Amino acid sequence: MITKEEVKKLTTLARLDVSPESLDSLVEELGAIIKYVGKINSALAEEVVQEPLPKNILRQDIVVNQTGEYTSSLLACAPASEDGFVKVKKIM
Amino acid sequence: MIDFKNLTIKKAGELLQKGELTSVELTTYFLKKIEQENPKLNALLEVFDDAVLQAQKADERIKKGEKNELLGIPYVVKDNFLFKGRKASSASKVLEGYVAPYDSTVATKLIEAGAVLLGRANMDEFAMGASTESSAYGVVKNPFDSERVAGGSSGGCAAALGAGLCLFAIGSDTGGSIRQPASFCGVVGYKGTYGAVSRHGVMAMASSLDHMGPFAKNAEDAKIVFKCIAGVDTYDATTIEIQQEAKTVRKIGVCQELLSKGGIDEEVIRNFNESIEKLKQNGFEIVDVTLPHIHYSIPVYYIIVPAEVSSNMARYDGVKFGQKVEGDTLTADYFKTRGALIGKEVQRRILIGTYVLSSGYYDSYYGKATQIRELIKQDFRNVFTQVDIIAMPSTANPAFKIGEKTNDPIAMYLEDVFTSPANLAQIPAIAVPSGKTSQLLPLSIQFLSAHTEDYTLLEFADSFEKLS
Repeated sequence: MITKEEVKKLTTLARLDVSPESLDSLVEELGAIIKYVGKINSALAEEVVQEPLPKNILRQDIVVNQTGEYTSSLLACAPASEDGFVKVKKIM
Repeated sequence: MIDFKNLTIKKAGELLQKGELTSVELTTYFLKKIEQENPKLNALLEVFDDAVLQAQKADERIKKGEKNELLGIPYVVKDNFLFKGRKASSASKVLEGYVAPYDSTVATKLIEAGAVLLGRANMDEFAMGASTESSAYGVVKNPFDSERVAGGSSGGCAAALGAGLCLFAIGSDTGGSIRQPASFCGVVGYKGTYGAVSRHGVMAMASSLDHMGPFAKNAEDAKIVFKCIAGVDTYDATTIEIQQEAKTVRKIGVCQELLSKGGIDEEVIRNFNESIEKLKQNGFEIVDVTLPHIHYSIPVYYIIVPAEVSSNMARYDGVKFGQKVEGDTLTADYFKTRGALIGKEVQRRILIGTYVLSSGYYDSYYGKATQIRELIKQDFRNVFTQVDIIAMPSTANPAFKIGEKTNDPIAMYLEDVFTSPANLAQIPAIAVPSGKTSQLLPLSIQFLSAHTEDYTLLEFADSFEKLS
């Protein structure tokens, strides 16, 4: 159904660290779920579905906030911050 | 002597306005009950220590002559709603200690209305589950039988109201998360038209299916709360206007095919048929209707939901908010934070979502699922040209035992069999208590109405409750 390699690849894409034991049970669980949802393959053999086009809801292009209005309350949520910036390890 | 146990929002509101009761007295009563009952129920994660202060402010507003149906009325809110300055965690370790920096639109409306927020309610982690067994803070016990679940994901809300710890609750419903726990705990649970209530400031699970809504003791109370929280919101571009006038209901549709598929508890079927008989005897015409694609609801739901979940959960990375587990590099920070702090069920759904959205699979899973979803919407539109209301059970079974379904994700997913269609079709649906099983567990009937016919549904549910 789904291989261990495929599950490992998914955990990499989803940025999820998974232990080897959890990986084994995930292979089984995800396999069963994918098989179950695969039931939809029996649908739509002959039906043509016209999905309605989504429409955009736009607002006025005007400034609604003052600069810095929310900086301190947002930074207070961050696990690490410095000099008014959210801090992270080096990216490159 | 005030009969606190049998108060409703309507009754309490009248007593408050007449000056026969103060909000402080009412709030103090519920705080005492919470102190007594919550330790065994685990319905509330936190009781707010400013509840009495809120009640005092409400009493001042009442004294000044302000009239508002929710002024001074105590309630609890699911742990995924943002109230500025208060903790909110979606019952997840990854948001432990997070304090909301702004109010959700629902919060703004309830604060303006003067309702008294008692505490935040336990839930399945990030609203994924049907039992609260995936909460990082322990399961919520059913007030009718402590060996059974209260349902999920808004189990804490349902249990708190069912146990008489508040007068209403606010939850969220993506596949049945208001209606299923309401059904297990003997209360009314309402999910309106998609877009009737703003999702701004509520932690997103699956954005095209998330609905915010009330738990209440009866339909009349549910309508009062819904009226307060509904409304178009510039912060949520998916909000829409709904019909303000209720239509007369004459015809009720029942999908017999759905009910004869098997897998439904005998007592649920018997109770449902009794309710239909009662409606018939009171002059409603019962019509057999077909919903040809409804049996695809669960597989379609469990493709679309994980897909949207995998996108919405990407923000929990330990960078801008929430908890963090340190790694050697930035990428390792992400892996470790998410691996250690996000629970198993949420991880499963993130991975399924990643799978169905990946190239090569997108068209056969997600692409197909959205097309079938469109067919399900069409099925309902067709049926509502023949009837005014559709009736079906809220759930296939009464509250199940704790641990009964935890080893089988699909068994848990099937809990949504009657509730998920209304989320896929984005139409109003309500769970109304309809009796008890032989073991005195609550049973519930569900009614659905056409898109934007919220008040038609709420009025009808009210008449159902009042049928002799």
